[in-house]
This record gives sequence, structure tokens and C-alpha cells, in this order.
Amino acid sequence: MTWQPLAGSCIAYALACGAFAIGIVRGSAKSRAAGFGLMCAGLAVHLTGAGMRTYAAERPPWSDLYETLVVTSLMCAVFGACFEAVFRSGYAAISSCFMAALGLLGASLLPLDFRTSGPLIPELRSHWLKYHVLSMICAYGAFSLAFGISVLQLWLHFIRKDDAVTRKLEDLNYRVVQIGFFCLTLGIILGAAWADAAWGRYWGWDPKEIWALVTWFLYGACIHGRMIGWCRGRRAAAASILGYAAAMFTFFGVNFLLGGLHSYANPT
Amino acid sequence: MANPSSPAGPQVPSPSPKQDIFELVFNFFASVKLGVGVMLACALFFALTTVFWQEPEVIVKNMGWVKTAIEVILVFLTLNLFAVTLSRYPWTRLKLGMLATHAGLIVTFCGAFITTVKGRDGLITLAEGEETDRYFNGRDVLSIRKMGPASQRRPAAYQDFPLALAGWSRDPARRIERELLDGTVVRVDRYYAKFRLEGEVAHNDAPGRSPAIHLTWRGGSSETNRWIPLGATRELTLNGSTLYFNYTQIEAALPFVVQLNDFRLRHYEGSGVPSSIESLVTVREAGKPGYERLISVNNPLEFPDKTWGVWKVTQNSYDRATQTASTFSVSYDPGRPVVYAGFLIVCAGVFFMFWIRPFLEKRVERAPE
Repeated sequence: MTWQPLAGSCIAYALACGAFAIGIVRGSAKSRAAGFGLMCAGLAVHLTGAGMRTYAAERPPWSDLYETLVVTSLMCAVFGACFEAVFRSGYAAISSCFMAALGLLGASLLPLDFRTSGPLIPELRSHWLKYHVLSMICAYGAFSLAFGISVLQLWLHFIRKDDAVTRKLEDLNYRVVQIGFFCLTLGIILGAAWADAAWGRYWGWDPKEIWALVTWFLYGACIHGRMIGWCRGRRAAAASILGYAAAMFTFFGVNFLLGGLHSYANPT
Repeated sequence: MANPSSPAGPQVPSPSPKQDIFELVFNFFASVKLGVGVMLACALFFALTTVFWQEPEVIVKNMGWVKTAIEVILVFLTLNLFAVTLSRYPWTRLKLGMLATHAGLIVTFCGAFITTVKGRDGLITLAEGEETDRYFNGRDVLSIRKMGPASQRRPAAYQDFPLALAGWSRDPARRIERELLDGTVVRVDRYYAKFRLEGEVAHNDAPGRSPAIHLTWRGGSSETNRWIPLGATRELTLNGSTLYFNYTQIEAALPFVVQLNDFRLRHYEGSGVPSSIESLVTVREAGKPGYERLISVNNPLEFPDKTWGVWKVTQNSYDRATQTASTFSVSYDPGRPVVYAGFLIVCAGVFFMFWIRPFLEKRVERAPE
């Protein structure tokens, strides 16, 4: 039997999700602690898996669709664990565990060609790969967490009508979106610097660049909308979900539907 | 404070109509609601450019109204940022993040404006041993030549037409038709931005940009047609008369000469995946000795201009059939340093706004009266 760290971490996140759900519903601190323990175990195994991939491929583990999906899930879980460590409410943790497990499940369902580690094509052999892609992955990880929190917020609002908790979740969502927005800004800027080195221009209206800008504008509107009261309560959650839809289209949709210079997702 | 000379309290001078209009315009642009609206409009407009056109990069550069629309949106956004920033005066420490972010965005847009006005870019294709001091600047032209009198052995210039090829991919039914001096008609039926010929079958899926047009020449009841890749000349004969059709782009001068000495395509051992694409070139400036440089993907040649800017020559693509010719992208952009300065200010501003400002606010709240 072969050891599959990513399957292991996926199971650990799913179990952590269950433990957090029990902890939140019953108000049990022990269940939440157990959930956090499981989450940390899942994170450790996830990190080991990503590390093994790095060791085997001798490059950062974010050079194709499979790897970026795995590391985005990892970043989502890392952000969730950090927020759980600070706020100890269980909501950030349950959202991040759910999204991370979903991401790993999605990665494992990709065809074998996509999961096989291949050599880097010349375009990707640059030190900018480390900085630009990592920034974007951090942004997607944070936005995934924000999406999870928004869905939870809407669910609690409509099903349980729990306004005190939904306000907490709204605040949590905003903090996570701030991290994602900063990473996205940094990622777009680092991408521009890379494009300048590779193609001789910092901005070329490539579909991926345009959709990264669309995502930036949507989250920018979401952040400014909160200032003027447009993005409060349910609308804040809906705006975060809309932003995430744009982020996911930038991540997957552009590669498969629009093409362009950034289509590195397909196996070589 | 009450006006001491007026027993009835402060006398506010009534604003002049000019002040009223200024205030109205300023308040309109200083609205955060407008900012949110503009951001949503930008998101929608940019998203639609990718839905309606397959090559938004070509459209944005060459299609007049799209270019104008983007410029109008960016000017609107800049005015909005400027007015919002001014309206928050006096700028305290707590507003430093907002101030830096907005200022950084304005600086970035100014840099982009310099790029649009002063920037130049294009392509060079060189076979090994060839040199050039010119580049194609992206504006397409159909240049037609005709064999002159018997004493002249070379075809002479006959007629030139500019070709507006932007937006073709999403509008395959589009045609460009021109009547020649002899009454025959030349028609561009198809345009492939990524042209590749496999036997007799044309495909539009070549990596990089290798455009080609499909041209039909019609006169009376007969017609003839041919694919013409960018830079190539094709000889067509119709009713006994021969013309030479050259699909080209307008050429512009470089401040240096670049010569391709050697093109190298390396592969990973035991696989067909390329590991590096390199071109060894010699660069010569008038009156100075030449020097050799290796240009590869992610490793461009930089040539400082006498003005404020740098010419960049980057590895774009190569001739897949012979592997002895290299295509380079050439760009000159004096707006680049301004844009990067804007980027840095934006990053610092966003960081300050999200994480330093709350910390400062807490300190202000805790401080004794």
C-alpha cells in the first residue's frame, strides 16, 4: 500500500469539519479543540505532501493546475488555522477545512496526466514563478476561505436566523478578504514585473491579466462598498461570493475557455 | 466663530454660480458611491472584452472605440481617486494608507498614459546570420507590386492598403475588399492570428503570434487565392497578369543593429519538452564596437536609450520547421519606471490601510485625552 499524504490530509480536514460542526452546534469547547487538533494534523500531512512534491520535482510545487490546487487548499487551511488560533470561534476553521478538503478532492479527481509532475517549460523557468504564483495562490486561498465563511453566513442568516453570529462572520469575512485583496494586488504587480521580463511589457491585456483585474475591481468594490454601507450583512456575503466566482474563473476558466499566454494548466 | 462686526451672527457670503458648479462637479467626483460604481463598470467592461473577442490584447490596442472607452474609464477613475483623496483633507496619519493607495493608482495610470503615448513595440524575425535595425510595429499593410517594363527586372510598387485586422477572430464573416487600378478586386477572406500550415490545411493554433491572411484576387469570372503569412510575398496570376502580394507591417527604426548569430533550442534529456530557447546576438550601436548577448525566455536584452527609457528585446518565438530563425519582441517604454513607482506606493498603501491603520486607531483610542 502506498502512502498518500494528500488523501490523508483530505480525510483529516473532513473529520475536523465534523468535529467543529459538533463543537459549534453544541457549544462544546472539547469538540472544537479536537477539531483544531485534527486540522493541525491534516495541515502537517498536507505540508509533508507538498514538500515531497517539491523534493521530487526540484522546484516550487505550484507549476501546474494540480499543484496550484493542492497549495491553494494548503493556504486556505493555513489562513483558517491562523484565524482559529486568534478568534477561537470555530467558524473560520470549519470553513477552511471544508474548502481545503474540497480543493484536495478536486485535485485528486483530475486526470492522471494533470497530476503527473513534468519538467518546467522555458517560460516558467524564472525566479518570478516563486513570488508571483505564490502571491496569487495566497490570494486564492484567502478568497476560498472568505467564500466558505460567506456561504456559512448566508446559511445561518436564512436557516437559523442567528444575527449575532452572522455579524461576527461578516467581520471575519472582511478580514479574510483584506488578506486576499493585498495578496492579489501583490500578485498582479509581481506578475506585471514577470511579464515585463518575459514578454517585454508589464501589461498586455491577456485574458488572464484581464480577469485578475476584474477580480481586483470586484473585491475593491466589495471593500469600498462596506464603507458606504452597500456591502453589509447578506449583501457582503453575496459580494464575496461574486468576487470568488471571478477569482475561480481567473484560476480555471481562463485556462480552459479563453486561452492566452497564461495557459500552462494543461499537461506538457 | 461669530463675526464680531455682525450682531446677527456669521454672514456667509453667497457662493457665485461658478463656485456652485465647481462644488457640484467636485462632490460628484468625490463620491465613494461613484467609485464603487466605476469599479463595477470596469469589472463588467473588461470581462466583456474577453467574452466578445478572442484576442483582447489585439482589440484593446487596435480597435478605436474600445481603446477610447478604456481611456475614458481610466480618466474617470483617476478623477474619482483624485477628488476622493482631496475631499479627505486634512490628511492625518490615519489617512496615510488611503492617500498612498489612491496616489499610487494615479501614478500607475500616469505611467500607463506615458506608455500609451510614448511607448513603441513590435516584432523582429531574423534567420541566423541576418541583421536588422528595423522592426514591424504591428500595423498591418497589404503591399502590392507589379512587374515593370522588360528593362526592369524587379517588380515595382503598385498599390498599398492598410488592413484593419483587429476583431477578426470573433467575426469570421468579415471581409476586406479593395478595387485595384486595373478594375480587379482583392479581398482578404480570412485572418488567422496563430497561422500554421499542415500540408494544404491551414490551422489557427500555432503557439505565439504568427499571423497570416487568406487573399482572393478576382477579375471577371476568374479568381485565384492564397495564404500569405506575415512578412511573406506571394505571386498570383490572374487572366495572364501577375502581381506580387506582400502581407507586411509598417517598419520603424531601432537605435541599434541586432544580428542573430546562433539560435539554440535545448530539450530535457529523454523528452521532447524544451528546456531553453536561446538566441545569441550581436548588438551594435553607431560608432561603437558591437558586443555579444544571449537572449532567452525571461532574460531579455536591455538597451538604454538616449532619452528616458530602455529598449527591451525579448525572445518571442522561433521557426519550428527549420529551428534556425528567431522572433523577438521589441519594446521601448519610458512609462515603465513611473508604473513601477505607482505599484510600490499602492502596495505600501494597501498594507498600511489594512494592518497599520487599525493598530494606530487603537493607540489613539487608548491615549489619554
